[in-house]
Amino acid sequence: MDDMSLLRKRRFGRRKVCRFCADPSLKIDYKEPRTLRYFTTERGKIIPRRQSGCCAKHQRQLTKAIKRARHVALLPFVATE
Amino acid sequence: MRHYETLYIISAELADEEIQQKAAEYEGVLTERGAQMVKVDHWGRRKLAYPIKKQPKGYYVLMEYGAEPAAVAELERRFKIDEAILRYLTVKLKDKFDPSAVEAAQASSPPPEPQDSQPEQPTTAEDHSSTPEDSQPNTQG
Repeated sequence: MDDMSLLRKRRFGRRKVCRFCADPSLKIDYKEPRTLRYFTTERGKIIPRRQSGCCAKHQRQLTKAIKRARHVALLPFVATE
Repeated sequence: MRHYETLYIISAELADEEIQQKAAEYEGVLTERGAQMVKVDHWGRRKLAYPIKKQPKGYYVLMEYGAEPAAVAELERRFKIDEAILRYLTVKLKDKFDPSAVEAAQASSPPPEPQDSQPEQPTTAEDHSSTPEDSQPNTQG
């Protein structure tokens, strides 16, 4: 709920468009840590939807893929400085 | 028959022959149980994003195949027993296995995988021996 009102009230800046909807050739795959990395902070946390701008569907797929990638050590759970 | 994909990590501390032997063994576990292999990719030795069993590196193998659930259960049972398997992950790609996928993969010898976004990553079986140091998941921060 909060996210919705935030989006609407954002005074400047454009509304973000889901990258995966915009570019159907982009695949969400746990085997591609390079793509997934873009959606994690440098510490390794998953970037929330309100920041990444992903649609619900793709954010869900993304979350799943990142968690899978973590399990097989393609992405870190925590990256220490 | 279902369409699965299994990625597993063999300890990179083993000698190359032992690794190849293990990879062949696990492929055998599936084929003995009537599985049809679509492709077997040796990604080779890669740096792990975090150490597993205090090991910084692992040898990645990716198998794509059609099999009965029982075959997968047996494969995973053996993975659990084997100390040299650091991790494994099986994903069901499709509920129904389409045998034409096998021919499609074999027709175009480099499998038609959308892997082009990772140029450094060895995706074919030939590359596996040559990448001891892999720049991939280096911990940032």
